[in-house]
Amino acid sequence: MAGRERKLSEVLKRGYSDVELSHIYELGRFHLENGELKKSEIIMNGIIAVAPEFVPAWQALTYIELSNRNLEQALNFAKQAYGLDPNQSLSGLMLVTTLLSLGDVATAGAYLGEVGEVIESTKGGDTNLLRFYKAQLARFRNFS
Amino acid sequence: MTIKSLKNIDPFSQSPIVTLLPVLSQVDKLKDLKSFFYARYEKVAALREGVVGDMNKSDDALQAEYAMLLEILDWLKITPAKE
Repeated sequence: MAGRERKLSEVLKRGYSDVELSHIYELGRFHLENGELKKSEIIMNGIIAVAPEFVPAWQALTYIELSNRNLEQALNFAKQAYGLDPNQSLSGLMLVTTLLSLGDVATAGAYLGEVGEVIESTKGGDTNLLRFYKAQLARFRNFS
Repeated sequence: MTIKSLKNIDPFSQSPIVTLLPVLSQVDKLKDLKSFFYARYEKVAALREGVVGDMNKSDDALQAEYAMLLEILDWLKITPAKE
């Protein structure tokens, strides 16, 4: 709770509330849905400049760099997202996706094991997240 | 018939990661904050003018915020008084 309060005050210091940041992020996500990667990148870079702890913006930037085939940069962003909140399965899976694309199968396998335990132990979880996990598992097996 | 089948396309199959990115709000809610974003833009633009010629690491953040605010104002169809 104390950590949460500290995060919020940090955000407020930078001039944006959590709600305002969420609205801005939605514009970035809207651009992604419409294939406007550059516009989305500008929005997401702005968010992490004012709120470096805002995990969804790091996740979106990872996706943008993966789409642009800038894999090293995608890896940096994926590590940031995962480091901020290792309990978010999506961040872990994006890290796995990037590592597999880079051919680092061993490291990808380690993260895949961690994320898989969380996903498979969550009953009634997000079906699409499970599908994405299974897709990465299949990629991993193909590499191995 | 074609339109009907296009509507049935699974968004996850088209773009899995975008589908999985969290939905935190609704983009239209930005419209309620027009004055906030314009005021913020003016503040950042003034700060940016003040630091030109004395660039350091924090100025990268200022530049990133400035570019973000321009994108938001563009989406809100507000033309800033100065660039």
